[in-house]
Amino acid sequence: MTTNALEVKNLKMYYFTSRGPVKAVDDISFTLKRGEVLGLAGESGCGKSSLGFTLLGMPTPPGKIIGGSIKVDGREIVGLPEDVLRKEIRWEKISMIFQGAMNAMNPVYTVGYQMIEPLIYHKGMDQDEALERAQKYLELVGLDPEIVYRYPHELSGGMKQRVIIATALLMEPTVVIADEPTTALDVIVQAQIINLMKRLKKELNLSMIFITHDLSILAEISDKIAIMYAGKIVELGPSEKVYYEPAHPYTQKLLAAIPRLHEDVDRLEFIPGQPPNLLNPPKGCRFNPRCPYAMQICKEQEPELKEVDKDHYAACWLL
Amino acid sequence: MFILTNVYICAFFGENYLKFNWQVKPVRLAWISNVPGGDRMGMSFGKYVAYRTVNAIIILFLAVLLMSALFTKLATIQLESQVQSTVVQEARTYAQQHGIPPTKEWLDQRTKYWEHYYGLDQPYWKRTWRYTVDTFFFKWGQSIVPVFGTHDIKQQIWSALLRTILLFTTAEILVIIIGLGLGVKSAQKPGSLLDRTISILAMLTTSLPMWWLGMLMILLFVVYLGWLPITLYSQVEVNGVANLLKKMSLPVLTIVINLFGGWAWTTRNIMIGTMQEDFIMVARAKGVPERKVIYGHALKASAPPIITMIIFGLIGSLSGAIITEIVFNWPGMGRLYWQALQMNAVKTMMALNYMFAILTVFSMVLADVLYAYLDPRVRIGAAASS
Amino acid sequence: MRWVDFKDSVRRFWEDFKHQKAGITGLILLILLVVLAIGAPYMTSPDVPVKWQTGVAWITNPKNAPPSWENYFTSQTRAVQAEYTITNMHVQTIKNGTYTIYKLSLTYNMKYDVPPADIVVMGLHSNATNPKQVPQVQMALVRPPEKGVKDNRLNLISQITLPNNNAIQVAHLDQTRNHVLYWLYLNGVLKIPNVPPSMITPDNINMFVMTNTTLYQMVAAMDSMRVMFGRLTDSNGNPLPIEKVISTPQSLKGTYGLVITITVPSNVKVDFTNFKVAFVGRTYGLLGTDQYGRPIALGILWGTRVALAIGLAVAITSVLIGILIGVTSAYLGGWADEAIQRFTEFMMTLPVLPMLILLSLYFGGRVNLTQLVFFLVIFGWMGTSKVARSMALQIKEQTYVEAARALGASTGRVVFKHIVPQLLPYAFASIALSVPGAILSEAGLSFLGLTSQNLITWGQMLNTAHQNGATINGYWWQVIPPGLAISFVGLVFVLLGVSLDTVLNPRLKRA
Repeated sequence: MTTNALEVKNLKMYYFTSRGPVKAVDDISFTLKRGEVLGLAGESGCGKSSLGFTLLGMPTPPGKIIGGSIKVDGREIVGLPEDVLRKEIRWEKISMIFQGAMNAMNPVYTVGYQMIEPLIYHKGMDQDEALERAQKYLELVGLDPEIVYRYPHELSGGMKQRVIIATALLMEPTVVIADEPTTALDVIVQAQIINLMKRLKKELNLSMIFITHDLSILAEISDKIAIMYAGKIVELGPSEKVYYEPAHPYTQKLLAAIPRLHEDVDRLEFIPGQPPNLLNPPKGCRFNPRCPYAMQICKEQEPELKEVDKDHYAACWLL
Repeated sequence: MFILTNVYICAFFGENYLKFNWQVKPVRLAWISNVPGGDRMGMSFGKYVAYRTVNAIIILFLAVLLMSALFTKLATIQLESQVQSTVVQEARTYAQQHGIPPTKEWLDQRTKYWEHYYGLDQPYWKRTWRYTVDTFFFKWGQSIVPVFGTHDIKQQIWSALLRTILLFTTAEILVIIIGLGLGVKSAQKPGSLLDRTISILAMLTTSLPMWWLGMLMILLFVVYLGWLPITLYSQVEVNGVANLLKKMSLPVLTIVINLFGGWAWTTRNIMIGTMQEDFIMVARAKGVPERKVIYGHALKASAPPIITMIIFGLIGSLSGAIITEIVFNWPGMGRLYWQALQMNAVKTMMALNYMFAILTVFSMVLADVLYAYLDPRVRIGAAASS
Repeated sequence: MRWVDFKDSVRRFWEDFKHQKAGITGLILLILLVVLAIGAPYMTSPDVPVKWQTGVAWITNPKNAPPSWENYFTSQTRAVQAEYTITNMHVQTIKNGTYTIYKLSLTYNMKYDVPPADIVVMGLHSNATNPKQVPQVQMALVRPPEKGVKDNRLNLISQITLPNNNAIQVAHLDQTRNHVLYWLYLNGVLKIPNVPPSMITPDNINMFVMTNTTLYQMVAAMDSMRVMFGRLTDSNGNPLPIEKVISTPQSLKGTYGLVITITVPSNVKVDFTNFKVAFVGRTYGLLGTDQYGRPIALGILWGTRVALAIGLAVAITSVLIGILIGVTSAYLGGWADEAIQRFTEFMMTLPVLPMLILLSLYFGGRVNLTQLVFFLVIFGWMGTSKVARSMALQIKEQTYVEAARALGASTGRVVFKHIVPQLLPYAFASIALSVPGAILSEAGLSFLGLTSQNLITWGQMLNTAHQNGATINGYWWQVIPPGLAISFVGLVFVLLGVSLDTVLNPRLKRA
């Protein structure tokens, strides 16, 4: 195990809109080791889903990768032609668990067909062989293999989510990106899915990026946590450290906003103000307009990620 | 109950810009996607088809009843004058034979006889009912004046129907191919030159009477360019298959030009809606080749509304088509209607109205059934969806 | 909705709408159309619809004449319509015993390769009571001098009576033709051998012509107008061969004089106010004429009124009715909703044009404006009602409506305060988008000859053209303008509708 599963360096992805570029992913770097789960958290619109799609090499139009590098299993994928990306990288090396509540499944195809598509296009398997494999994975995620013959509308939300997970794992990719897989499921199903993913992580030794806005879930599943704010990673470190000793004021505020059972909190905190407009982000630290500790320097210069502890980084002038 | 919000919206938007010569019927799609599910919880597909058919037949019967109620008046006027002229004729014969004019009683008696013969002594509603039942069971009888060289209405309509079908299926097939192709292409690149051209074209043709376009075609290709002989369109009948095909060329061209823009635009709208769906992005992420994404995932998911729209388009263009046939002297149902109108052949008109009603009603059933067939959410009992 | 809110929302709407290029174009064009429609009676005359139905009013117009500007594109220029009233004429009154003679003269500049098609004299009014007192008309044409031609004056009519409301159409008079032949004879173009000149008069010349078959056939096909405005001699002053003069005449350009002599008994009064002399063009005005001589441009202008009236009346009524039925259906729910929906679907399955034809026939075969609007509304409300119902159903489920109901708001209040205002934007766009359909329906019915002849509609103009075989005869000016007008009005409303839809676009539709 010499290479990391995923290495991202100085990645930039901007949306080129008619009103100017939107810096959705701005100079992001991190590495993901094999068998590791990186939790990616932040408010809505901070660019975490954009990052997920960028890692697949398919930023949502009008987005474009304008710099940096993404190495999957040691192979650079930025700049690869679309055709190669499609054939050799997507789903083969890096796959995605979509939100089941989304319309992620085509209503006019059977579950089985949608599962085996990658097997047919990438591996050139024939239908029966592919179906057999799909059924194996359905069993793995705890579903009746017979549902390959069903249509998506016949499944419940939790079942759909399991199918989507199975589909993502089918090709045994190096990296799996889970994009809010539990959002919009009810609490019990949410717990089931989290348990399933924990189990799969152990059984299959998955390398995974888990994107969510729900920090409490991340504590459950991830080894490392990255906090994103306005297109940048503001804090990155082992889960416990980030969770219990947050270094960045934004992380602190974010964690304070989670209701906790065991601690006595008078009232839930919230972060005043709005996430910045990424068309025209504030100068200096992007969090400065909302930060209670903002200093003069925060308004002028952008902080770099600094190691505050072993493997624990944060970008803040306070540190 | 499922609301295919997206499909419904696209269809709605598409339809509004579309040209249907007569009043548009925008939300039938919503109705289609709502009602069958509601109607047929747990109904099998076969049962559903049967249910829709029975439903259609009932609607058809009611439509015939309504039409008959109106037609009976027209038929009455015609029959009354028929009775009068027959009696006058008889009186003349009587006067010649007997040398004296008939008495008033005699005339009254003959009038009564003929009125009874034609059923004019029956109350209005009774005649309407008889007329309805006769029409409904294809007992159309003879027209008083000959149309298309025959008194037999069934024969008149049969020959006209075949020609109409020949003309319109040809045209519609072309329209569907061109419309689908261009629609899918422009949905791939919204805002491109092709896309904008199609939007403008659709808007332009929305307000263009199809039959007027036909007149322009004759002016251009027959009169000014002289590519086709004038007699082809100044006469109804043509000899030989070659001439028939030649005669078909201009009306087909007219229909295609008039309709393909609108259909391409509808297809585009529905496709663009589908292309924004998450499952398209998922398919791309899975590494499905782009061609398969568009012609497989997107087109297949769009097929139910597209096909429904195509069928509604057909129904919508029916009225324009009737007049287009008149302009081109194409001996189909429209031209037959025109001739019947000129000759006041009431029974022929009634039979034609019935045929048009059949076409409309069963096209709608076909649209519903195809929709249900193509969309598994409708085809397979939809209880699980929400 | 309070007035201030209303003003505010109108202002915001306008802010958005301003940026819609298509919408603004549509709006400007719509205003133009409305101005034309309202202004038609003032721009022309209010009695046009009455005149439109009678052939008499158009007697001075050429039939099936192309637009005058076609001259710019053809190798030969054709005469345009020229009309003279008494004010354009020189009038001389002579008393001769018990008779009064009015000598009217006018000059006409003939600068065309193809001369006028006819000269029509009409509108003379006298109070003569007895047929013997009816004014007598004589007419002569004074041609420009031509080398080798002895007599520049050509009698057209030696005597003809002109009662009130009658017209003289020179081109169709045998008398005129004989005068022309006689004049050709006098000038040595028409030769009648072996007959002493003293025996030949305008009245009997035809008899001598008949003896020569070739000549007779030539004369039978002669267009006397072209001959009387044509050249008789070549550039050297030698008479041209007869075939050239009669069959392929070349026009003699220049200033012509027309002298009309009207003789009436002195006790009879003659009124010249409506008197008119027309040199009937081979081309006419902006858009030519139809087979009855009616100017197409006039029909197009007046057709705007009916098109707008029908389009707007049908669209507004059917959309409002549709919304009313849809909202009621949604609000009532249960069996009432079910019944209304079944009825709506039933109406939708009726084939529209055949039903319209049937209704027109039922109401006597030619329907007037009100009936037509009524019929089109009957078949026009279903679409809107379906949309309105589904939108109303969604609104009904929304929390604030439930809250309003929980607070005890009445049904009417919920419907009018919460549901209807949200449907209004949809209604506006829908109205605009329904107009083309209504106009097309009207055009279709008119084309089939099922609308009242008291209306001037573009559909009827196309019907007239179709009966005239305009397409096959190549009378493009009878075919293209009315259809273009229909499409144009349709396009204006589509532009408006699409822009309105974009701007007002109710949240519900894209929700």
